[in-house]
Amino acid sequence: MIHQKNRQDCVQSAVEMYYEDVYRFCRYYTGNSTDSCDITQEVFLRYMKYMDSCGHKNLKAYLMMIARNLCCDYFRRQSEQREKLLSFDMLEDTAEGGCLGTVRTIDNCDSELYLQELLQSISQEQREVVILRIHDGLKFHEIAKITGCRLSTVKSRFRLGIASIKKKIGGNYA
Amino acid sequence: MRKKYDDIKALFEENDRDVIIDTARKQEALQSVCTKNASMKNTAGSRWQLVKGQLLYMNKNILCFHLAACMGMVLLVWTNWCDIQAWEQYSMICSGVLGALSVLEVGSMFFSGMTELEASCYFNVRQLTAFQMTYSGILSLAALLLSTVFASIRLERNILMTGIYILVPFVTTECVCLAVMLTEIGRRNLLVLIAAGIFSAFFWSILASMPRLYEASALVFWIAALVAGMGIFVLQMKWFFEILDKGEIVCAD
Repeated sequence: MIHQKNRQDCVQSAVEMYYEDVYRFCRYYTGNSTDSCDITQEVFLRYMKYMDSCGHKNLKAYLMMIARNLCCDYFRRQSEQREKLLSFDMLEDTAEGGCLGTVRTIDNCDSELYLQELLQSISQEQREVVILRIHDGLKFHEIAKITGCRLSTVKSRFRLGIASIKKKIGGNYA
Repeated sequence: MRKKYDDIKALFEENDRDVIIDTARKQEALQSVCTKNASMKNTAGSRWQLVKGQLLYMNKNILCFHLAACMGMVLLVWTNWCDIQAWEQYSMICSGVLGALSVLEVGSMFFSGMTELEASCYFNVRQLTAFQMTYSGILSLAALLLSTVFASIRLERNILMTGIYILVPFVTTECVCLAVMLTEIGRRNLLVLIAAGIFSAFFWSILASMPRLYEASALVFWIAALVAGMGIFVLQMKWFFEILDKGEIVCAD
């Protein structure tokens, strides 16, 4: 059992070190900055709650796993409330007249919106792998552990996700 | 070496520079961690309250059915209501029903939406699932044991052989029901789980009506079936708890 004071110190240092990483992951994954703040806060609360029982070698990967699960719950709730349908329609509208439907390039496009549109255009499973691999620099086997998939599945999702993004950007990826 | 996705990485890096981290929200997160830590200190002393809360919110209807089925099975032998052939058939069905009820009791947590209360009421789903599986298993096994002992006394059956015969439908029905529980459809629909239980019990009732099924020569088959069933059950349980931990079964809040 971790002492109460030590527990607080552990989580505080985890917040100091990884708040930005977790927040960015949630933001890229959900595409919603406000909800990402709430999810990020919840990640550290969950971490504190389960830190006694969960052994973890890589703290960042462990936090990402909590973040990923909370984001999945977020999507599930969104889906249940049929809000996702609405946002999807909005996204489609944006894509048609926005970055992806036209000849817009990285240089003349608002980078955040552009990246968000690229990420939202691939499936949720591919998106999480692409973000965890490229943005967070995690290894494939770590991502496999986080997502609960086989290594080959993770690699396949990554390859397909990148290929899809590349296609939209206009490059080639084999 | 230049990677094929360096341009996407550059896009991420460019975007990261533009993303401003709200320090107020970060401080808020730190503050909430401190507050939660203090509240955890308070709740640590009232563990009994948590157990009481978990017991209070449990679905007790299936537990009542389970108890009734256990008592019925024991009374069937105790009262000498049936002869040995009929007992063999009834015990197989009852054993299957008990197996289905054991899993149904655990499933009731998910069907009733009780797990959704985890965060607000400090439930621990894993702990509660383990607890429910343990007591429902003990209850069923106690009924099967008593039934076997009475059968060996009153109907002069070999206790070891009877025990093995009777355990096979129990274990296999649990495997079938747990397999259903491991699927998304099975978890969301109680009727699917009940149908699987009925199907398994029905299957065993047909098998029990076959002649010469309980002879000593068939014992090897029964032992093999029991061992295989137990092996599958252990693997299923491992899988079940793994996906429970990952939050795939239960909504994390």
